[in-house]
Amino acid sequence: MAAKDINIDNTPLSEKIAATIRNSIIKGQLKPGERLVEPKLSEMLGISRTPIREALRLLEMEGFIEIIPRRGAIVTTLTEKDIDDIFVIKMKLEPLASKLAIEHLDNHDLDKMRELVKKMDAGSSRAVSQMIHWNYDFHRIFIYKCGNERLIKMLEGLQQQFKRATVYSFSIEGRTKEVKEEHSDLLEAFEKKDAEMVEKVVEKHVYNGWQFIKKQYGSSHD
Amino acid sequence: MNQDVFIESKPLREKIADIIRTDIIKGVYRNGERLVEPKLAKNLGISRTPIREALRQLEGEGFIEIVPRRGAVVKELTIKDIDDLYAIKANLEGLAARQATLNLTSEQIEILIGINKKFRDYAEKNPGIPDEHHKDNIDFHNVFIAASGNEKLVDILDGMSKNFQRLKSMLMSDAGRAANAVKEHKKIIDAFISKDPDLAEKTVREHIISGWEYLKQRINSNA
Repeated sequence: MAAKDINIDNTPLSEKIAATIRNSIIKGQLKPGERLVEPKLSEMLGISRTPIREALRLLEMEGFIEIIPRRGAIVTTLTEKDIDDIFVIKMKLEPLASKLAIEHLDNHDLDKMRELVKKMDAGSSRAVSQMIHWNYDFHRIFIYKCGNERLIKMLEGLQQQFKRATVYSFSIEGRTKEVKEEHSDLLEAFEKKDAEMVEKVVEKHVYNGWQFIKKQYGSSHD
Repeated sequence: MNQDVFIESKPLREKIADIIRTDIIKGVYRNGERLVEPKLAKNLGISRTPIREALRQLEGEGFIEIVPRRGAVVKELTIKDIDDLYAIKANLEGLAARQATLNLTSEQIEILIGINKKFRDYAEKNPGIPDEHHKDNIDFHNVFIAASGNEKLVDILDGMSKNFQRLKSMLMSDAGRAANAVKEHKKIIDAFISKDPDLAEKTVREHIISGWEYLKQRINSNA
């Protein structure tokens, strides 16, 4: 990765560096506890240290790294407790967002959701990042239509911290099939504008994801 | 040298955010007012990088908005915002209470009882509720929020409570509401004593919603 590859459009350089480092953490190329040394990153990316420092602070806010005095930036560890702590919050906030979204979702949104369900159906379970992407898009459609700006921001923030964990759901042994079915159920609930059903399906969907990720995480950390 | 900057600028970002946030709460900066980076840098005697970071943090907290070509602008707290905040707060504080139920020690429950007693005595004697009393109310909530043991949840609720400081003058400022709050706190304490997570969640949720309804009424009657 060189500077010219990173700075294609006019997204701030610091955001792009953050994306590059974030991806390396999600993919496990940078391991928990690993130190991110500014001068080394600067040399590797061929970029001055100021935007790198800004990028590290962004990642700190997202929970991917921790900045420790005298040690610098360290990749954070995702513990089982973190998974529990985040999911228990998601179990409250995502059903709330879905319920609020019912009155704002239009036909265009539902079409987009249908299309994503189809794409996931046809997609190969080996295309992990593609599945993660489609899954993310599907959730975003109703989250962004909840009409509560703070809630959107909060769920976005959780999602950011969470990308690391989502990977488990779509790995080869993932629960891609279940996710597809749950998304179809949710789509049906939205079509019927059935608030109670929407809330219940989302709650169950988040819960199932939680239990699955916990199990997978547990077996990879034994 | 660079290492020093690196180490010290983290609290610096927070410090700058604190200063700007306090000024917004106090009304030094008004709704819609522009926060100009070079001017802030000059006033605070600090370079622009940590100021930019502080502004980004405040944007995340909902105090300002960063508008293309205009920069940072103080965001008005509208009734819709308050509605939005309370909808989240009712859910998340309820969750905190649920998670706290099995963690709360008898000492912590004693603290809750103590705060509520102080609160009640004060409310009976003083019709208007000053700042100090407001602080007691925050303390009451913080005891069980912290006992949830869920750091992410504590962080989120802490960030939200900063927004509620903008409403401080309106919250808890009459004796009728204070008396109701005392009763609601009592129900919450009882739920904790009986170690019933469902009930704890429900009573906290209802308490938040009743505060919200009170506030809405006040805002509407002022308008």
